Formats: sequence, C-alpha cells, structure tokens
Amino acid sequence: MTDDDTTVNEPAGENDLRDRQYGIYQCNDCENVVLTLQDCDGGMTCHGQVMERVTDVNIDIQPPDVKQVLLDAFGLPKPGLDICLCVIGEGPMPPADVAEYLDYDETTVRRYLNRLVDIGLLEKSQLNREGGGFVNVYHSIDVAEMRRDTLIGFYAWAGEAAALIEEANLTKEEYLDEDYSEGLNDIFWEKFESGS
Amino acid sequence: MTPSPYRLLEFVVGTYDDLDRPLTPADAATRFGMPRERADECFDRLVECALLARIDDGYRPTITARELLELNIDDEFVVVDADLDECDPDQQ
Repeated sequence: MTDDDTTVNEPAGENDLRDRQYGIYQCNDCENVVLTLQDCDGGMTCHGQVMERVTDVNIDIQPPDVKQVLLDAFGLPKPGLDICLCVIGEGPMPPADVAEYLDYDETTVRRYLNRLVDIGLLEKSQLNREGGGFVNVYHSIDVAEMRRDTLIGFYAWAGEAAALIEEANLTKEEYLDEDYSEGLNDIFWEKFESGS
Repeated sequence: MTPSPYRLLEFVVGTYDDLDRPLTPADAATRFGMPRERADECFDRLVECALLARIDDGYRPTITARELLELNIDDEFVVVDADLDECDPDQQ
C-alpha cells in the first residue's frame, strides 16, 4: 500500500482509526469491508488484492459501553457480569454467599448462573452427594476456548447488525426508486417490525 | 499468599489421603501462612458447598470434593449449589 492509497483528509480524534486495536479494511475493487483484531502479514486481501486500511470514519460513533455490549450481543444483563466478577478467584462459593455479597436474591443468582450456561460462558456439571442426591457445579470453560467463543459470538452479532444496516440502506434506495404513497418512515418500520 | 478455596480444597484432599487423618483450619493456616480467620471462613464455605464434612476433631473431604477435583476444571469460576431444594425444578 502506498501513501497515494490512503485517505487524503487527515482524520483526528475519535474519528481517527489509525491507532486502534482493531483494523478495518476496504476493497477498492468491490464494496467489501472487513474488521480484524489481528492483521495478517502483508495486510488483508480481497480476491487476491491487498485491501486498503480505513483510517477514519465519517460518521460519529459512540464509544461502546461494556454492559450494553454484553446485554445486546449475548443477552447478558449486568447481574450476570456481577456474578462472574464476584466469584472469579474466590470459588468454590455457594449461591447463598454470592447472593449475600451482591445483595441479590438467591433465585436471581441461580437464574443468571443458568443464563451464563445457556450463553456458553459457564459449564454445569452434576456431582454425587454423600447420603444421596447430587449437587450442581457451575464452572468456567477453558479460558482460550471462552476467548475464542466470545469473539466469534460477537463477530456473528456484529455481522447480523451490519446486515440490518445494509438492509436499512437498501430500503431507502428502494423507496427512492419506487412511487410510494406512504412516507419512508412508515415503510421502514413496517419492514423491520414485521421481520422481528 | 492466601490460596483460593479451590487450592485449599486440593490441599485438604491430598493431605487427608497422605496422612489419613482429619484436617483443621489450623493445618491450612500453617501450610499457606494465611490468617486463621480466613482459613476458618474457607473451611465453612467448603462445608456449605458439601465438599468437606465435619468429623470428630476436624474435616474430611467428601465424595463430591473428589468428583469436583476429577473434573480437572479451570478453577477461576466455581459455584457449587448443594441446596437443590431451592433450585428451579426445571433446572434439576
């Protein structure tokens, strides 16, 4: 990539994407745009051509809030994260101690433990109990596995979000091409609310 | 350094099998150089989790404790729900 390939305008502040942990690349031959956390040697490629690193964003974006990201991407509300942070390095803990520490009801703690299992962030095992019966154990999955799964899970969510935005853009294009009697906002919400 | 309750449980199981005698919080406090009060809290918590059982003059590991260690899990996050009467029946 040469200097001629980069954007002419000098980006500044939060719109500057040059020094980020992630990289966004665009293809100059097609409309492909990719996101990566780890650049390959020689950069990203699209149909054999080196892609151009995007250095600035023209639309203002809000910095993500970790609570909102976990809620939106994985359906994990703050209590689920609180439980993780409370137990890490302190276990084995009974749910009663977790509930007391966080000032939650025990049933709330159990509900979120099972939610964390459903999401795939915890595993649940049943062990035998002396005198009969069993106990439930909620425990971490392998850290490397969890890191990979959460990243891929988030990318899948981000891909769904990107597809929605793309669909929204196409809806606007379609509206402009057709002779609708309703306003664009009516057409837009009708399309997305019927699909949800 | 104060060990996590999980590391303390590993110590109790290993030492109980080696010495064939019950362990006490004082044993753990001496072994890890941890405050006796903290050792007491850890033992109480492990009893609540059905991982240790009180016997004559100390504590012994339960079958549940042995099964937990056999899982060979990442010990970063471990919650043991031994109070299944409180559980949602659908989750049992």
